[in-house]
Amino acid sequence: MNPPAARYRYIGRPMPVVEDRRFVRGGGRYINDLSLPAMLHLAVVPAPVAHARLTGLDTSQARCAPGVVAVLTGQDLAAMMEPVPQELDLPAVVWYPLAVDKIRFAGEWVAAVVATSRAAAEDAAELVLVDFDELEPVVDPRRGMQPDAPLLHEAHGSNVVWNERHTWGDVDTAFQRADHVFEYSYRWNRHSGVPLETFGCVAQVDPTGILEIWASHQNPDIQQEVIKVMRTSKAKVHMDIDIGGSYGSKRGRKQMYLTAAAAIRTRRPVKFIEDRIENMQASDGHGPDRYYTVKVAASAAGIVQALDIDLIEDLGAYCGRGPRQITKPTSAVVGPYRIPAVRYGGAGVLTCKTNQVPFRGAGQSPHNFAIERTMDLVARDLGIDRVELRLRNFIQPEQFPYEIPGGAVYDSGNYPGAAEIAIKQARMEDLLAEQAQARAAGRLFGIGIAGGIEPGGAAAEHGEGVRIEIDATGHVVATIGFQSAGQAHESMVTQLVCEELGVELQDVIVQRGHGLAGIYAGAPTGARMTQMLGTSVHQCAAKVRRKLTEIAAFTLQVQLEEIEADGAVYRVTGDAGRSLTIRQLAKIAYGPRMKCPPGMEPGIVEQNVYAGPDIVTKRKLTTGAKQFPTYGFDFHVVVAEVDPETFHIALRKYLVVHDCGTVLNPLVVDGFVYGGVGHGIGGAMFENFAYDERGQLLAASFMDYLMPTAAEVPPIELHEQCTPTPLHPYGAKGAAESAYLTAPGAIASAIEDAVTPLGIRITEIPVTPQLLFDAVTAWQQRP
Amino acid sequence: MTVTEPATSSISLTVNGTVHRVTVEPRRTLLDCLRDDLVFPGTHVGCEHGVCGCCNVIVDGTLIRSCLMLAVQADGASVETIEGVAAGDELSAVQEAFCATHAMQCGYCTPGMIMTLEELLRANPQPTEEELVDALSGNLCRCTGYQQILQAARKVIASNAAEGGRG
Repeated sequence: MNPPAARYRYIGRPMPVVEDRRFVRGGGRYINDLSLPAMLHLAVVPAPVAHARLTGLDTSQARCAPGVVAVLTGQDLAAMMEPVPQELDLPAVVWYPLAVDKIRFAGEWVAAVVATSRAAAEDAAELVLVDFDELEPVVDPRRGMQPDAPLLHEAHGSNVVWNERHTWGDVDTAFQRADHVFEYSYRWNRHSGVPLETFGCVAQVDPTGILEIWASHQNPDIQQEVIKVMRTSKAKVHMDIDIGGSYGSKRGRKQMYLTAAAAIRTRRPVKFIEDRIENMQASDGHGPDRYYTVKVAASAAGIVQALDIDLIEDLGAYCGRGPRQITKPTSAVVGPYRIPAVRYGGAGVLTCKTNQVPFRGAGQSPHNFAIERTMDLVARDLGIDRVELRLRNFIQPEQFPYEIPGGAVYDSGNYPGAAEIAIKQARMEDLLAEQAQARAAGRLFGIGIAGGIEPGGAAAEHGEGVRIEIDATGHVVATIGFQSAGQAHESMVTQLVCEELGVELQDVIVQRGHGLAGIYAGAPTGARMTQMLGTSVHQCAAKVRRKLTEIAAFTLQVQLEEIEADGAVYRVTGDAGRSLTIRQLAKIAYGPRMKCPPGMEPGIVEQNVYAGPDIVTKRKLTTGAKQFPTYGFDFHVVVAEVDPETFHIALRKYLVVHDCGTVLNPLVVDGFVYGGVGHGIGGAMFENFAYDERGQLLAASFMDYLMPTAAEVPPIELHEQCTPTPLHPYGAKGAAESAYLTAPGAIASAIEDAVTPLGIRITEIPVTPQLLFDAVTAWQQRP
Repeated sequence: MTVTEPATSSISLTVNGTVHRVTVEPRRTLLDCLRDDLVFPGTHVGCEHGVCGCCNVIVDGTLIRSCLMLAVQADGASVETIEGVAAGDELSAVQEAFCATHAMQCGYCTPGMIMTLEELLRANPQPTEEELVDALSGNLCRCTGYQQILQAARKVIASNAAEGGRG
């Protein structure tokens, strides 16, 4: 940990997290804690099969059941709302919250019952009779791409909805001239954030006709979509509730529209909280699901000269926002390496599964996995040490800003520096000696390494706003546009307000807004809040200081330039006796008009919207081609041991070097890193939304979808490197994703190193004992 | 098939020291009863099948999953929820340690985690690392990777050891 710069009072120090005080008392207020007078409850009817023509829905018994107020079908919704918007412009791929004429995945909702209690709604939901003609499901996207495959959306004419190929640099020449050309295939199975709170929402039409929605939805910009989809001119999405985890996955749009439709239909408030199975089967919350083929051109010395990356993405039944996860990695397509030429493309295919959501890194984690696996395998195939191969290929610290193929620009970094810290702190020589001993004793002991880039600050799409007010008593109220899903935004804003205005922690209130609060708010996606909201607070505080300075100069009868701010005190330079505190200045600002400078607005209320650094999107992609101003970096060293008889995998050591530039609050950033490793361990070793050949989800409960507990996550040793970005006032980069974007590759590297004596390679995650057993068996039985 | 109005039972349970009388359907879980009938929203709904630990409460001194216990089974019992852990404004040692180490992010699993540790440390103020991890392995957290939660627990255990040593 680098010491915080001496000029900062709060930045860089472990500041107690404001939100924690209420959470430890059970005082978080989540969507399921909201109750409105006369509120009804909604339950859904799930489809029993994965692919079918919906021929009839008999809701007559359900409508007569006790407590039932309404039953909604897909036909009802189609008449009262627009389809749910999707990432790509596909007029023939039409998506409503309830199936209209076809069932496209098992668990898809075909009807919704609204009743006086959730129990009554569930009882009645069981009385809805669903008639259907079953069709052949599409479960494997490789099958779905074939010309004779059954079609999910017949009018679209194909299951393929994204099909692009981009060439940046002279790829063909590089492959023709390369000393070596290798080809590797990888499989990244579906997993996701799976927050412990399911998605939920409450909707009502208020007496003035405003459609109000409270939801555990992470993005404030959803309000504009609500207006369009629900065909209303007045909507208010409340963004002041706590969210029980998101990691990108809390974006239940169809749930919000379904609940809103139910509120409009019944003219009463309606609540819908997914149960766990609904969340796992049908919440549109799954992460990437990908097959990779990576061709690599390399010199004899192991310098990688070109990559040709082809992928097949299993998007699920509707295109949703999944395609974004295919294109996002183009913002860091070469990882931390100086690779001059890249071909990138493939196919996004619709299948009979729930939709994807851009989950933690939005497709960057599988991409980094593919890059790091490739570096390991090239090293093995050339007989070069894995660390040495990376050192030979890293972008060098003096090369920044560095433009990669495709045009994204890395702002800053020190990749060899981070790797060296990791190798030294992990005592790599000792580990290698330990490994030699272990292997001699017949143990399967492996050391893994990986680096990982985190594009941060997703800037190009939205600005980020804040309003700072100082009331007449000198208290500061900062209003931001949205709630937090665990990223401690209230704390960050509090910390920055204290830093910038010199006030004390107890004098700051951070207020979370709603869609009509006048705050221009984008979204906490793409590791952007430190970059975007942090900069916005910095700029807004400067406006506040300017006004305070004007009042101070007027009151003390000096020129503006003669006033200097020292924390919360504004004094005349060189005359310490003549000064005013923020509290005194605030009193003046709200006092009689003649005491303020002529023409000045009374009060202290300043607003700011930060649009992001001025960078241009060069890549021509159909979706998701946004630019990321800052690039963080992780380097991980992992030790794994595999039991030679049971293939049980234990992680013996986990070391991270993390570089997100300036760390604003180590308590928070350390938590992001640990949690990111936790997600990485889950994805690399346990979690898999597996489907059977009929398209039934096999992992629809926590008994079947295995997640790491405290017993599976080893102690994580964390070291910081600090390479500040020039594109942020404090030098901070995005910090919440890099550990998850690096861990799967590092863990696979360690397990592969452990089982190398058995002759197998790791090209698929999750790496389970079964996967190892099957691979070893196949190797032993090879012809 | 028709649905009839379900029968109900009257039960009495003590929650955080206060006696409550409530009428519930026999199928109502203790979790739903605490949250919706008695308004203790700090106990959270996670998986509703006994895996995640978000709904952990202490019933007659024993940690239980309130999603797996029917409210009628708690008739006559004494229940402790997260709302009863602090003494007024004074947080418990576990709660203070959670704040000191930032042993949470979204806060959703936090009440269940704290109830697990309260129960563990009452019975065994100085558990071994293995006992600690074993006890916490019944609670899922998706945010933290458990590191800062374990740090918080170790902080309390170290403080218990210091106090024990002095005593």
